[in-house]
Amino acid sequence: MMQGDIQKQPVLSPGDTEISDDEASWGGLEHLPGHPIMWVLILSELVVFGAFLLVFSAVRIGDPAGFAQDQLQLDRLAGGINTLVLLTSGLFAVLATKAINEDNRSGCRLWLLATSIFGVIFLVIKLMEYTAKFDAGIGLESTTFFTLYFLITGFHALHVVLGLGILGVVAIWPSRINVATAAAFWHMVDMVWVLVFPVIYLVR
Amino acid sequence: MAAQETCSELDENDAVMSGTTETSSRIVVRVWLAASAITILSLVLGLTGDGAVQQSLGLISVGFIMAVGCCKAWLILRFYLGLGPAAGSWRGLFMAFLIVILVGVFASQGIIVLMMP
Repeated sequence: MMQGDIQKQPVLSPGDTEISDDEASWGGLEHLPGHPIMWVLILSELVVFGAFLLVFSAVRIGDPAGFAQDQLQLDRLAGGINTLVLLTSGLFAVLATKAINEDNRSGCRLWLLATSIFGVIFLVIKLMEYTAKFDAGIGLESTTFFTLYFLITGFHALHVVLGLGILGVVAIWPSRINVATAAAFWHMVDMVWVLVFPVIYLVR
Repeated sequence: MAAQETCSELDENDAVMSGTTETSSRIVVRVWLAASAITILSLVLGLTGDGAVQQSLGLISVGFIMAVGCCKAWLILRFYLGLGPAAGSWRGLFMAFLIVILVGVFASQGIIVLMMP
């Protein structure tokens, strides 16, 4: 390796994962917060959720009255509270990123814990919603609306579970790149929900 | 010279990487307050949808609810994720994604309104 090449090596904080020259060319993704591979995942997830929402809207054209009737059975207040819960957890994820950028590892862990707690609250509310639906005799195959409802919100809830796992792992090894990567995933989950909520719960 | 360019590149990357270092805690909290406030507003509008209010507003109501949703998504992208102008064309791609969702939902509502007897 030539001397000039050595000078180009990025200076990393202790614990940061070094990205090799081969991995450095990500078509601009390397300039986004976190590891570029997470952005590949985020982009693919956004395409999937975007397709879900557009399909939901398209199918609704065929039976607007039925969709409106089924939508009345959703707990919109619970959906709204869940939106506030995820927005708050997103704020905590930002504060965790800020803490690690200031080399405050214990502070970062605390914010990650707060983020995770709000993620769990989201899942508990979602589970209560599902339980209420099942108790009312509503299932995955009741109507097209509820098939799409369970499919989209369930798939999103799985991402929340995955996000909690990532936050947990990052809390053990809180480096700048790790926290930024986990926060990026969490914000994607947050952003998807703020789009899912109006489309499924509010638009009539 | 090359080292100097690399340094400035790294500084720029660091600013984007951290995202939150350029966005102060105060701004992030304000963003959270704004997003929460418009969530409550759209929820109130959605909850009144059982009556005649939302029906009389029709497309305007749907447009407002979806605009609020996309606005919150943009706030998350810009201030939580820190996708500033330095993110370049990727930022534009995310904006395009939001516009496609907004237009798609709004168009489907428009078709439903047109099909109504």
